[in-house]
Amino acid sequence: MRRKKPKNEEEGRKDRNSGLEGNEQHRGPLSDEDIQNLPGIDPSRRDFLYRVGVGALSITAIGGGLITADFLWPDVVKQPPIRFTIGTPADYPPNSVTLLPEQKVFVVRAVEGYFYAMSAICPHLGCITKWWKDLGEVRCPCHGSRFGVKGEKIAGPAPRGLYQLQMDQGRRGELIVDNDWRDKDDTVHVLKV
Amino acid sequence: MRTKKEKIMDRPVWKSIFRTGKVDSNYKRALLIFNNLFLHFLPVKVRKESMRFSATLYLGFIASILFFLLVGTGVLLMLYYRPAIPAAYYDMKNLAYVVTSGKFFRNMHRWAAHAMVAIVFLHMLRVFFAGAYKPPKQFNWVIGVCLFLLTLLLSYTGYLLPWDQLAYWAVTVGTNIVGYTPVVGRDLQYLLLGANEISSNTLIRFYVLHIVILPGALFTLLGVHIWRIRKDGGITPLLHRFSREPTSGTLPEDREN
Repeated sequence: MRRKKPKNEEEGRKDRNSGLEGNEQHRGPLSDEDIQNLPGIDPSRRDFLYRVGVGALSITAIGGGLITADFLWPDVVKQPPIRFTIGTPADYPPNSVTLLPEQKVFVVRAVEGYFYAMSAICPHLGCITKWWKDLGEVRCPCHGSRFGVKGEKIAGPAPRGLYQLQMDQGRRGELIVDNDWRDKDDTVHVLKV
Repeated sequence: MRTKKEKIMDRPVWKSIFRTGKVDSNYKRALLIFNNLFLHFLPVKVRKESMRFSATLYLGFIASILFFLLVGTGVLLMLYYRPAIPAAYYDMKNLAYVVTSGKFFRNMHRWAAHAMVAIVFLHMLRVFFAGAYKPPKQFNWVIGVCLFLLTLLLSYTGYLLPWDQLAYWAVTVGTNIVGYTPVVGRDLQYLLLGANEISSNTLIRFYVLHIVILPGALFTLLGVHIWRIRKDGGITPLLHRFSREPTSGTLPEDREN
């Protein structure tokens, strides 16, 4: 901090501000920063405003990032309805396994009056399985997994049996399948008609 | 008596385009490279031993040429391709059977893609066996691995675009594998598919990845990769049989001994 040269010899003596001009602060053995950083001392107004500014900008930046990330996960997707009707019990012969190819669902009419439904999506890697009537098995064409008529795993790389779906009967007797196959377990849900 | 060529080159218009002037000294030759946007990326001089074919088999160079070939043929193919269902499949048929040289450009694109994966892999092997990843070049190796991953991802995203049986099931299986990742798997799968199952959302996402995001990332990293090689003194050639410098190409302060 340079001191101005005194205008004449008379002003060479130190004045009350010890030679400081204008906004200059007294600089003792501790600098301003050291004083502010002493424990128990509140930050200066400038410091505080600076921190508020940084905080506000950070919130904006992080918030912007989160909003952009959220944009990437669609909130509305077009997909076929999860619950759908599949006709009446009379449409399905006794002791039959019917594949609904659009919805990828096996509808099984077992013993007279008993229905159950399984997802035809292979629990291994998502290929569509096929019911082999002569072999009495459901088989996956992709990697060779085999399942029994109740969907239990017989062989192959699949980690589990077929996903079991819930079936209901509507007021007019129509059959309804709930095709929410994700995270469904191996327990067969039987609908008695 | 001045030639016509000399007269043209004296004109201000010519001089404003070609600013280095007559190149008749080594200084001028270096200046020509320095002053040019496209050329200054490369070094003015290279070591003679790095130009030998057996040094690198020119694999890195071939890989970057293949990349530019893919971009070129890719842009041409883009003019006839719509990333929608069922248009995608029919546009590929259109390119193969109707569009002039469509089959040629499509096949060129496909062959270049397969070749690039193979060449990048061989380049990786070459760098490894020549020890060209040793200090101070360790991070450049990491960048190289990232480039390899980007190449594979580009291959995978491009695979879906014809929307045929092969493409559809390959992506079904691939995204199901992603879904198996612990904790974040389902979310990642949803992000890739754009829905709960493979659909038109998936096609458009893979398309944008394939033509913008991944090539952009690859181009940027490629720049860093080549820049680092230049800053480290150029290509590291394979050891010359009679060389007494086993760590040639490594800076003295980075050597172990």
